[in-house]
This record gives sequence, structure tokens and C-alpha cells, in this order.
Amino acid sequence: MQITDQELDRLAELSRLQLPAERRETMKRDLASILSYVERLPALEPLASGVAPRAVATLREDVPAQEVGVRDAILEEAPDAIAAHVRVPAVFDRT
Amino acid sequence: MESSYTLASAAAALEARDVSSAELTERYLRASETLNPTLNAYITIARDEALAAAGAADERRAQGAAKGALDGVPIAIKDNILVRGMRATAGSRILDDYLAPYDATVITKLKDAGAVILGKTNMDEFAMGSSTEHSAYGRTKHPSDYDRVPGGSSGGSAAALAADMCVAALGSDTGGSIRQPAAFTGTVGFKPSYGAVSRYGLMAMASSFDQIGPMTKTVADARTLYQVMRGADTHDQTTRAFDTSSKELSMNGLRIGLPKQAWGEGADEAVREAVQELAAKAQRAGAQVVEVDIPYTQEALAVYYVVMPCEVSSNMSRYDGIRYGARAAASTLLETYLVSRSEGLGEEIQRRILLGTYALSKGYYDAYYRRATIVRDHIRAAYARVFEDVDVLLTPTTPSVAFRAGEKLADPLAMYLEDIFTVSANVAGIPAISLPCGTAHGLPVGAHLSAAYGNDYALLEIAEAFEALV
Repeated sequence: MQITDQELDRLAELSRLQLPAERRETMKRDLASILSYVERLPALEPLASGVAPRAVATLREDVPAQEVGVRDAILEEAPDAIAAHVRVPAVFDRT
Repeated sequence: MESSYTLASAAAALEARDVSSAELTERYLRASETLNPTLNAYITIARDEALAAAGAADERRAQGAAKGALDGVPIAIKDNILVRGMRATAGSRILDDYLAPYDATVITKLKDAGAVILGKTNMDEFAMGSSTEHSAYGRTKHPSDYDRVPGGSSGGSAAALAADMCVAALGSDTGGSIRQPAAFTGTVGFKPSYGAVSRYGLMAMASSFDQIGPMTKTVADARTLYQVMRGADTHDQTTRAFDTSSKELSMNGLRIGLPKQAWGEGADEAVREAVQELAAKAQRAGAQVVEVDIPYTQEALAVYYVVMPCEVSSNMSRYDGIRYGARAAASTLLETYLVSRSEGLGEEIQRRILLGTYALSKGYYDAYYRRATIVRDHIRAAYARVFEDVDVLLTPTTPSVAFRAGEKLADPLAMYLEDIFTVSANVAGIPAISLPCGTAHGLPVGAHLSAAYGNDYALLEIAEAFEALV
């Protein structure tokens, strides 16, 4: 199986990644190699009932958790923050 | 002061006042600072924080208020587990100057138990790798042979432990990342049942596989750490409490299964012999050893290399330069994403993101992701069935002993095949442990034991019985 340039471009766009030209061929080859390996998977019928581990959902009380200082710690880590906000490049392109 | 400590001997020495936590911590900090330039086991050594915690432990002990087995004992933590206020890189450049804003649940539990955190250990970037060669901070060296790898992705924790730079360590395991480095370095590595230990504060790699677990010098130490870390957590909806009662198991009458899917080929002869020798000793001690057939488990690695990259592709989308981590200078929002991610995320990460994106995309979802999750259910059912007939399964942990740095880098698939014996425990969610069982070609060999889902304590008891035979 092979990955075409077009497919690689589509995957990169969906993944928000940009591959330098010199790494494209290697990436196409590696992806094809791994996909060829996993193609051995048989098409089995789904099981009638689920098997463990199954979701249990340990719920907590519906009250706000007062974790002092966490917001400040989070904003500290933002690459660009003003007051209580993270500043980001414009979402809508006005050009 | 002894030359080396286990959790048990450190606890005993502290209680007997043979040594203080400050002395013990200083000894391990010095070992870490001395050996780290060579081994590169740690990304961060937290001297001030460790000594402060040690001082507090000594204070408590002086007041007669010591907390238990972990109080004042120095432990190393893998760098994808958050310790508040401490740098957390996950071995990636994109988090180079990230400071954790909160403690992971396991860290809260360790701190409540009085443990001293020595620092954060090196790892394959975002836990993706089997050698710690994929770290943005350089590779970690195998303490017994600097040309070789300690395994991965918890290679830093394994090396720190094997070189006695810590008394115990935490790792994380998604496809074998605790057990494989434990096998390579001659230490004990335990992956709990999925849901036994909270993942809150563990940077997610593949959320239906990841588990945090102990890496220790003895099985008893693994149990001590596990006991503190385990438990249902409202911050992690996938956790639940398991039965903690002792099964009072011994070698006599134990039913040991050797899965025929694992014992066919693919393992180095000397590695296989070392584990077969352990099986023979178990048999002489009264255990029954039988070959078992676990259908579809030969597909476990393929299931893993579909479902895991899919989950990775989703989990890695948060690293976009916006809220934390490195943000590239760019003029548009899209460029910010593209450049931040492409510059900040390593090649292996990008490879797995692209793979997962492919397997989840329109036209391919059914043939890859859906197909793999159905096979996964069949594998889980097959394990549940086999554990009606046997108490524990035994295989080698790895197909070979620690390999040389650079040996597996040319072909990603060659690296992935290192996980062949460990990965099915993550696919099935069952508990599994690697313990040292001798050497092959002068390097440590690990024996891999697994048990039914939820039978963590039984597995630890069984592992201790095996440990006594080695």
C-alpha cells in the first residue's frame, strides 16, 4: 500500500502539521509500512455484549471546586496573557 | 547509612532512627547529581523541594506523627506526571519551560503519604517510544552498558532506579513503557489494571491504554507504592476501586499458563531459556504449568498500532501553542498552529498523529479504527476466558535484552515490535508485571506475568512467589 502526496497533504492539514520537503518521502514510506502491518487485522463480528473494563463513572458532588491560585498558575503558563485572558491571533481573517 | 535502600529497608531505617530523611534524601540527591551528567536519567533534579519535604518528614517523625511506609522516602517521577510548581516537559521541546499548575492525583497521594520527590525523569517524548531515544533532552544510558538503551518510554525512571539514584520511581505504561525498561534494567515494573490508578495529572497519550505504575527494586515495594496510589478518583471517570483482599496464593497448586501465541518465535533464545527456567522452578515448587491458546492475541500489536495513534492524534491536538507550551511567532492563527506544532513536536509524535488521523478519517474509519476496536473486544473476551483456567500467564517481557542505541531507529516498525509481549495487557486492560529473572548475554532478562482484570493484588502475591524462586 502507498500514501500519495495528496493524501499526505490532506493528513497534514487535518493534523495542523507542516512537513518539510526533505521529510515527506520518509514519512510516506513509514506510514505505508505501518499501515501495511496493521492491515492484517481480521474483520470480525462485534461481540454481542461488552467486556471489562467498562465505564463506571464515579461522580462527584455538583459544587464548584475552590482551588486557590490555579487560575493564576494557568495564566502564568500561557505564552501570551493579558489580565485574566489568553491572547491569541485573530480567529477571523479580515483580509 | 546503607549502600542501597528499598522502600521497605528505608522505612525500617527511618523508623529505627538509623538515618534521617534529610540524610537519606541528601544521599540520593548526591547520587543523582553525580551520575546524571553521564546517564541523563533525570530532566529535573529538585534539590530544594526534596530537602524541604525531607525536613518536614523528619519533623513529623520527631513529633511521633510519621505517616507510614513512604514518609520521608525519596522517589523519582516520570516527567509526564504533574508535580505542582515543577517543570514538566514529557520529554518534549514544546513543553520546555512548562511548570505544572497542579499535582496529579498520584502525586497528591504520595505527598499525603509523606514521600519526598527527588525530581522528574527522562522519557521518550510524550511516552512514545521503547528506548528513551526519542526524548528532546537526549537519550538516557543503560547503567550497565552506556552504549545501550534502558528501554522506554520510562527509561529515565528505570535507569535512575537501576543506578540507585532513587529508592523507587513512577512510570507510565501504554504499550509496555513501565515493564519493558524494567526488564532491560533488571528491576520490577508493574502496570495496574486499567482504571486502578487515576490518570488525572498524567499527560494523556492514549487514554484507553495509559496507566501510571510503580518501578521498584522488589515486588513488595511495588505493592507498597501501588497501595498508596490506587483508588477511585472523581477527577478520572475511568477509575474504580478493586478488591484488595489477599488471595493467599502460593506456588503450590498455582495454575500457570504459557500462551502459545507468545512462545512460538520472535524471542531471543537465551531470553526464552531464562524465562523457561523460571517456569521449571515454579513447577518444581508445586505449580502446574500448561500451554494455553488465547485467540486473536497475535493481533494485539496491530490493534494497538491502530487504536493508540487514533487516541494520540486526538490527545496531541491540545499542543497548539495557544494556552501553554512554546508558541511560534506567526502572523495568522493557522500558521501559529502549524509552526508551533511542527517545530515543537518530534518526528515520532508527528508520525503517530498522521497515522491516527488517517485511521480516523472519512473512508478509512471502518476499515481501521472500527475494525481494530472490535478485535480489541475479542481479545479482552479471550483473556477473560483463559483466566477461568489459569491464575497467571507467563512470557518473556521483551524479545531481546537491552539493544544498542541507534539500532532500532531506522525502521519505526522494528521499534514497535519491541512491545510484542507487553502490549496485549494494555489492549485487554489487565494487570501485568515484569520481574528480573536472570541474564542473557550478560544483560538483565525480565519475566512477564499477567492476571485477570481487577486481580492486581493476586498478581502481586504471585509475582512475589516467583521472585522468591529466582
